[in-house]
Amino acid sequence: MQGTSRSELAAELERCARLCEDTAQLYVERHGDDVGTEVVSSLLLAAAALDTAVKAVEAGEGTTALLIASTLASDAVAAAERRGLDESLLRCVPMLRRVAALCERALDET
Amino acid sequence: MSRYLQIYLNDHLAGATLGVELAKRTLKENPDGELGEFLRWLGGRLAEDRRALLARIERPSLAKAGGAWLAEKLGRLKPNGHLTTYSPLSRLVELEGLKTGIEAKRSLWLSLGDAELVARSDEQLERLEPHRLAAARETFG
Repeated sequence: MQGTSRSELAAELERCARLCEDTAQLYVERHGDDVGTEVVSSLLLAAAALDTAVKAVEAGEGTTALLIASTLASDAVAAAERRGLDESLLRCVPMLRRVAALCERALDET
Repeated sequence: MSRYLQIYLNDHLAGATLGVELAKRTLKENPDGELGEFLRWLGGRLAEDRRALLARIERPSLAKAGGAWLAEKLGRLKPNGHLTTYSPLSRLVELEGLKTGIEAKRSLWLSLGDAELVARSDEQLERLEPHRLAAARETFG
């Protein structure tokens, strides 16, 4: 991981995980969605995968966790695009794209 | 909710996530005909069932997904790191992987006493079996 240090990567993944949770919460409160809707479940799954990746990266591991995080972050982007991007998703989606790319880059470097 | 139940549900969440990915990969390799149609249907059902599971979890975690996920992603790599060619045997192994996953999910819903979701799993197994048998016939003659 030359371009991004492990601590920077972990911090970025952590920020994205919290943003995913906040966005999912917003959809529940503002749009009346529940966890059964695709966009909310995708955001919560991405958050769970990112949290797992944070722990793995901090422990000096992380290959599999980064693979899972990248896949589920990309799935969440696709779900958000299917739903239609509003203000909250417009903040979250670019960050998800960015962390998916960071995960891929980190995987390439391992 | 008990700690043990949370762990149990999160273990199944990891398995469900693996199942969704496996269905996607199998569909990518078999997009046409009745099998492709079935895999599109199954992928949708597996994603819906995962959402039903997620709704029961207070704090989702995918910590247990690692080993199985890696095995699935790397399952087609030879020891030299090159991809193996997709073959009838690959199809059979993937369909059996999906069957195993659905059976595990059925056990989960049985344990939780959700008859509707048990019935959904039964329908998935019933519709999968002819495709698995066809793949076995194609593989072994």
